[in-house]
Amino acid sequence: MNASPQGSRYKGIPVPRFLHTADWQIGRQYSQFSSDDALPIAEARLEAVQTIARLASEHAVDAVLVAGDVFDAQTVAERTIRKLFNAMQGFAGPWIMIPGNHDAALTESVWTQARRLGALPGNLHLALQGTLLEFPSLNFAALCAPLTQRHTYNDLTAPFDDLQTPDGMLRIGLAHGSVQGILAEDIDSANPIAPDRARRARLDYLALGDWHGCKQIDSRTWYSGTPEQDRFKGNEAGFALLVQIDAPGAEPLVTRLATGKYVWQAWQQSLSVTSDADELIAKLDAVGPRDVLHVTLTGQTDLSSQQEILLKLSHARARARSLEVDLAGLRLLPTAQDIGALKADGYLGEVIAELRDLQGTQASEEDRGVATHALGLLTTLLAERQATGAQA
Amino acid sequence: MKLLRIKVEQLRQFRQPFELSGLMPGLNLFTGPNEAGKSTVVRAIRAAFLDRHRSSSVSDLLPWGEPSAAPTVELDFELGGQLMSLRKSFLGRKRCELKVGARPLDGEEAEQHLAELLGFEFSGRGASKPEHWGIPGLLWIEQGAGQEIAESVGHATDHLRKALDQSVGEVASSQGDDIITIIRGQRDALLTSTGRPRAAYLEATNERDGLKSRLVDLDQRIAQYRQQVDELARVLSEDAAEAQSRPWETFRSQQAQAQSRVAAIEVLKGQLAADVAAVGQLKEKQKLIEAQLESFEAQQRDLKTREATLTDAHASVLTEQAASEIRAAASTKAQADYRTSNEALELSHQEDRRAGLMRSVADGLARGTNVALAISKAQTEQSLLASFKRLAHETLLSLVDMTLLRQQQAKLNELRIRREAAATRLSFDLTAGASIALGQQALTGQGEKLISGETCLSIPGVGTLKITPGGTDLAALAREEEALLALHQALLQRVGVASLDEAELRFASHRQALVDSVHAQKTFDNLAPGGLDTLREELDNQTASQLKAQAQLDQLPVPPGQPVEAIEQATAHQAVANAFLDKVTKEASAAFLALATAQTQRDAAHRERDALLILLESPERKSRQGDINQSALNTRAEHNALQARVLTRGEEVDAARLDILAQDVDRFRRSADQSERVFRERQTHVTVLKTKLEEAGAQGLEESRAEVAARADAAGKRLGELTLRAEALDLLCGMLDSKRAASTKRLQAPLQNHIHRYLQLLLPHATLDIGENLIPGFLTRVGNRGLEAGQFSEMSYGTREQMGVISRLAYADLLKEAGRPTLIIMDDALVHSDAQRLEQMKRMIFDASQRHQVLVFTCHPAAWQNVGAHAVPIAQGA
Repeated sequence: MNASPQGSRYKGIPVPRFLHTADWQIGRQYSQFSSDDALPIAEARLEAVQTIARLASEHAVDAVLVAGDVFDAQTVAERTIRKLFNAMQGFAGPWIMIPGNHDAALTESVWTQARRLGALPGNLHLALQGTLLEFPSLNFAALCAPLTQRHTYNDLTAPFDDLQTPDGMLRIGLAHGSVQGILAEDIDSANPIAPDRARRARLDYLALGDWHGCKQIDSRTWYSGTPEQDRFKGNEAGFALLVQIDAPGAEPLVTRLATGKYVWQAWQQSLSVTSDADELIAKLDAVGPRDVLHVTLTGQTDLSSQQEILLKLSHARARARSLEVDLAGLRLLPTAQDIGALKADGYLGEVIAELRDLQGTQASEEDRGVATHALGLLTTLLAERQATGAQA
Repeated sequence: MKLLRIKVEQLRQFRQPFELSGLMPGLNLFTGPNEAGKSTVVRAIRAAFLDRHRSSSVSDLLPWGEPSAAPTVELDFELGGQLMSLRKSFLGRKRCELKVGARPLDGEEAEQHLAELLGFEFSGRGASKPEHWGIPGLLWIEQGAGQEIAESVGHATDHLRKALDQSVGEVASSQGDDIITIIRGQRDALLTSTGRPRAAYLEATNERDGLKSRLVDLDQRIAQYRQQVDELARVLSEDAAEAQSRPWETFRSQQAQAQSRVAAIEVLKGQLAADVAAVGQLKEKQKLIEAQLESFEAQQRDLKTREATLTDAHASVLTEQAASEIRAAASTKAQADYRTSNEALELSHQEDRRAGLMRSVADGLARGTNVALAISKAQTEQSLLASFKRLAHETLLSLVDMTLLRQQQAKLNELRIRREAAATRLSFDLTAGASIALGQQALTGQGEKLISGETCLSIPGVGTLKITPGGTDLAALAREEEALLALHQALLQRVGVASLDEAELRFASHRQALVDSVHAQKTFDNLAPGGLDTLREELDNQTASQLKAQAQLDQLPVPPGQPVEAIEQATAHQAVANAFLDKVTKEASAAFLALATAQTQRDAAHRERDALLILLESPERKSRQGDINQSALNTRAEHNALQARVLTRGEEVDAARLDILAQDVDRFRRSADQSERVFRERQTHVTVLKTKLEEAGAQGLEESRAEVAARADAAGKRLGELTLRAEALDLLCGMLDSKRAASTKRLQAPLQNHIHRYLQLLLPHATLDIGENLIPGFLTRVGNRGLEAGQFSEMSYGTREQMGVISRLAYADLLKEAGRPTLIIMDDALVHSDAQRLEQMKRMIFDASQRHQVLVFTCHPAAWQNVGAHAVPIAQGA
C-alpha cells in the first residue's frame, strides 16, 4: 500500500484515491446475544464508521464510496440517524452514498426522515435516484444506481452503459445487488447486476455493496463487504477497500484496510475421547476480548471432563466479548468411578444408571436432552454435597 | 428373651410378696377376674424395665394408703444365652440391682444396660413416655391398645429398619431422601403439583408470550408502514397523471352536449303537447255536435212517445169510468142494507129494555114487603129488650157488696165457733123435773151449755153458783163479734135486704135479667142491623125505584106485533153490514180517484204532445239542423290532419329518450364531480399519508422491532432453559420416587412375608401392605363382591386389633431374626374378636410362641382354654 501525503491531489500530480465501503447496517440489533454483549457489538458498527472516516483522512482519499445498506432498516430511531452522521465527521471530503435494499429510496424512507431531521451533512452526496454526479474539480464522475424499491428484478446499472461523461474524467460506479452468476446463493436473487457491467459501461471502478464478505469480481469490480463482522460466516468481513486509479482506464490498485473490531467464530466440536476435550480446553484458553464465539458441543463426556469443560467455558465466557454455548447435543455418561465418587448408593445409583441409559436409547432428541439435563442436575447436586461434606 | 420368674411386693394390691415362677419358654396364660392383679403384673414388668428406679413419677405403683411403701419387682430372665436377675425398688427405697450371670450391675448402669439389650430408652427426666419405649412399647400390648399401632411402630422404627437392613443386606440410599427433598423443592419452585408452570417458569412463559405478541404487533405496524409507503408512491403517480389529463373537464363538456340535446327535445315536446291539446279541443267540439244531433233525434223520438202516451191515457179514462159506475151502484145498495140492520138493532134494544124494566117493578114490590115485615118484628124485640133492662136495673146488687156480705157472714160464723170453744162447758143431767137456772135461763133434763161470761148458776134449793170462765179473750171475742154484726146489719140495710139469703136471691135475679137483655139485643140487631131507621129508609127507596121503573115502562112505545131478533144477533148483523158498507165505499172512492187521475194524465199528455209538435215544426229549427250537419263534416277533416302530425312528432320525441338524456347529463356531471373529488381527496390523502409515515419513521419501528426481537429471543432462550430444567426436575422426581418406592418394597419384603404368613391363617388370600413408615396400610381381601381394599385406619375395631396383633407378631419375628430379644405380652388383647377369628388368632399366637415367649393375660379363661398353655390363675395374696 502506498500511503500518500494528504492533499497530494492539489499539489501537482493527482493520484485519485477512493475508499470503498458498504453494508454498514446501522441500527442492527443482535438478538442472539445477551444485552450485555449485544450493545457493544451494535456499537462496534458505529465505531467502524469512525474508523473508515479516520482511514479516509489518513489516506487523503478523494471520496468515500458507500455502496448501499447504510442503514439496517427504514425506520430507525432519530438518535441512531444522528449518531451515524456524527460518526462520519472524521472525514471532511465528499461521501458518496447510495441506498441499498435495506434502506431503499422509497417515497418515504430513512433518507427522507434524515433530511427532515436536518441530519444530512453538507459533504454528503446522496443519490436517491439513478444519477450521474460529476466532481469536475476532482476529475471524476460517480454513476449511481441506488435501489428505489426494496427489490428490483432489472439491472439498475444498465443505464450506466449510456451515461456520457466528459473525456478524461474517471467513471466510478456505485451499485447495490447481486452480480449474476458469481455468488453461489444469488441464483434468481433480486437486484441483479451484470457481471461485465464495468467493462460495458467503461467504468474505471465499480463499487458494490450487498455481499458482506470482501470479494473481488473482476479487476475493476469489488464488493468491499461490511466493515464490521455481523455473522458467524467466515467470509472475509471487516474491511474497507482503498482504491487507487492512476489514470482513466488504468487498472485500479485495490488494498484492504482492516476496520472490524470483533472476530466472529462458530466452533463445532464433537467429543468422544479425552483428547477431544483437551483440544477444546486448549482452544478455550486462547479466547480473547475481540472474540464473539458460538460453541456447539456434541458427542459424550464423562462427569469429570464435563465439569472441567464447563469450568473452562465459564472462564472463557468471562474473557470473550460473547460466548454462546450449545450443549444440547452433548451426552453425559458418568463412569462407575464417577458414581462411586458421588457416593450415590442405593436407589440414587439406580436413577443415575437409568438416566445414563436413557440418553442412549431411541427416545426422541428432546427426551434425551431432558435426561442429560436431569443427570447433570443430579450429579452436580451430589458433587456439591460431596464438596460441602468434605469441607464439613 | 425368656422371663423365668416374677415377684412383686408392696406394689398396688400386692402388699404382700407375690410370685409367679416356672414361666414357660413359650406360651404362658395368666387368668383371673377383674381387679385380681393381672394388669398389675404387667405394670410391674414394664416398671422394672422402662421406669427409672429413681423416678418419682411412679406413685401409681404404691399400694392404696401406703405412701411410704417401696414397691419392688424381681425378675429372673434369660437373655442372649445369659441368666439375668433384676431387682428394682421404687419410691420408698430406690434401688436397682442387675446380675448378668455372675456380674452385678447397679443403678443407672444396670438400667442403661437393659435399655440397650432390649431396645428402648429412658426419658431425660420425669415419667417414662411412649416415645422412649422402643421395642417393648411395640411388643407389649397394653390393655385396650391392641388396635393402636402407628404410634408404637413409629417409636420403634429405627430398630425395625435396622432389623430389615440386616435381613436384606442392602440400604435404601444414604442420601436419597435428602436428594429427593432438594430435587422436589427445586421442581416445585417451577411446577405446580399438576405439572403446570409456576413462579419464575410461569413468568418466563408470560414474558416470552408478551414479547412475541409485541413482536407480532410491531410486525403488523411495520407491514402497515411499508404498505403505506407503497401506497404513497402509487397515489403520487396517480396524482401526477391526473393533474395532467384532468378527466373531469372531458366529463363537463360531455355534460353540456347532453344538456343542449335535452333542450331541443324539450321544445319539440312543447309543440307536440300543443298539437295534442288541439286534437283534444276538436274532439270536444265533435262531441258537442254529436250531442246536438243526438238531441234532435231524441226530440223526434220523444214526440212519438208522447203520441203513444196520449192514446194510452184515453183508453185508461174509459176503463176507469166503467169501473167507477159499478162501484157507485154497489155502494148505494150497501148503505140501504146497513140502514135496515140498524133499525133491527134499535128495536132489539127497546124490547130488551122493556123486559128489564118489568123485572125491576116486580122485584121492587117483593122487596118492599119483606122490609115492612122486618120492621114490625124489630119493633117487638125492641120493647122486650127495654123490659129486661128495667128489671136488671131494679135488682141491681153489686158483686162487691155481695162478696162483702158473704165474707162478713163467714167471719161471724168463725167468731161464734171460737167463742164456743173457749167457753166453759156446762154439761148437765138433771133429774127429771129438776131445774136449775143458769143466769136467767132455766135448765132441765140433759144438756150442755157454754158459759162465756160471768154467769150465775142458780140451783134451786141450793143457792147460786157464780161461774166465771177462765179464758181471758172470751170477752174480746164477744166484742169483736158484736162489732162485726153491727157492720153486717148496716150493710144489709144499705143494700136493701133483710138477710143474706135474700141478698143471694136478688143477686141471681139481676144476673138473669142481664143475660136476657143481651139475647134480646142480638135478635134485634139481626133483624135491623142498621137500626130501624135504616130499614124504613130502605123501604122508602124500594118504593121510589119501583115507581120510577113503572113510569119508564109506561113511556116505552107499543111493542111490535112480530117477534124481535135477539140483541146479539142484531148486533152481529149490523156489524157485517157496516163492514161491507166501509169496504164498498172505499172501493167506490178509489175508483173515482183513479178515474180523475186518468183524466188528468190524459189532459197532460195532450198538452205535451201539442207543445212538442209546435216546436218541431218551426222553420228556425229546420235551418239550424242543416248548419250543424255541415259543421260535423268540417271538424272531422280537421281532426284527422292534426292527429297525423301528433303521431309523427310523438315518435320523434320517444326516439330521443329524454329520460336517458337527462340521466346522461346527470351521469356526466357526477363523473366530473367524482373525478374532481377523487383528485382533491387524493391530494389530502397524500398529505395524510406523508404525515403518518413521517410519524412512523420517527418512531424507529424497525429498530424497536429488532430490540423486541432480541428480547423475545432472550426470553425464549430463558424459557427453553427453564423448560428443560423443569422437565429434567420432573423426570428426576418421578424416577427418584419410583426407585425409592421399589427399593422400599424390596427392603420391606421380609416383614411383608412375616405378615403374610400370619394373615393367611385369618383371611386366606388377603394381603396387608406395609407402608413406607412400616405401619400397616391397605388391607386387600376377598369379599362378597370380589376384591375389597381399605385403609387400616378405616377398618372395624376388631379387625384393627387383629391386624395390630398380627403386625406385632411379624415385627417380633423380624426382630428375632435380627437377633434382638423379643418378649410378647398381651394384656386382655383380642377381646373384640368374634369366636371364629379368636380361634385363628390363637393358632397364630401358639405359632408365635414357638419362637418367642408370649405372656397372655386374660379375664376370660374359657375363651383361651385351648390356646395350648396351662392357665395360671392370679389371685391377690396368693
